[in-house]
Amino acid sequence: MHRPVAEDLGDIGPAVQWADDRAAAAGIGETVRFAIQICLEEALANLILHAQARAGGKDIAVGFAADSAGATITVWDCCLPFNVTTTPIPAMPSLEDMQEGGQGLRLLRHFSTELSYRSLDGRNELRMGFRPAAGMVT
Amino acid sequence: MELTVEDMPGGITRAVLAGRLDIAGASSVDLKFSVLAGSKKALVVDLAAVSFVASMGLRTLLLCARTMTAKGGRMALASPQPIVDQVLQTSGIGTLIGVYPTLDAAIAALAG
Repeated sequence: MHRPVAEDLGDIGPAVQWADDRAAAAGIGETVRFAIQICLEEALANLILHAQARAGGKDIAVGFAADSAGATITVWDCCLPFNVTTTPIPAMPSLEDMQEGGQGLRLLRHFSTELSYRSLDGRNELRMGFRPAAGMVT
Repeated sequence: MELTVEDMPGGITRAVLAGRLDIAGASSVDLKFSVLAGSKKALVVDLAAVSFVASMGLRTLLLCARTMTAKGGRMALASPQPIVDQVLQTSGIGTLIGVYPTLDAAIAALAG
């Protein structure tokens, strides 16, 4: 099942709620649902705020799939590729030197247990796995 | 996202947040935090009733702390729920802004 996401920050909350409703219906626990919510919010915010659209728009959509071990959230877009799984995360500077961004990638990588990205024929796909047995979320 | 502000003894201000500090929540309190950052000397942000925080919410807290520090003020975060504390520590914000397990500990840190 999937849901289109508008290029509007105001649609992130409803999209996260859509995924959380499905996670709750699948019997996924609150801590994993928290991890799903934070990763999906970060992924969508990154696309809407920072990604460069190709001609035709960003065409963002989110998918949800549950299995016996947890859940997978997939985010599709038609932006210029930006691989969040390999982009370096800058070290934390002092408060005075701190830039406003940069936390999203760190949170995405911490709260998901599996992360993969591919770009094919102008469409990008970010898959985020949430399986407590894999370790990072409990 | 709800924000209530209370002036306490010793020149310390307590800002109590309640709800989700997500994109929508952060945008609803950004302006109020800007006002607090510009007008207060010592600020404790009580996170006990915050159930969720993401990077836009962290940005709100960071900007406030940075503004206060630049003008000689101090800010501390108090009583985060365990999962919210995990976000604070993972993001690194916890190394830049003091995070204390109780309101009393945060007040003592600012008063000290």
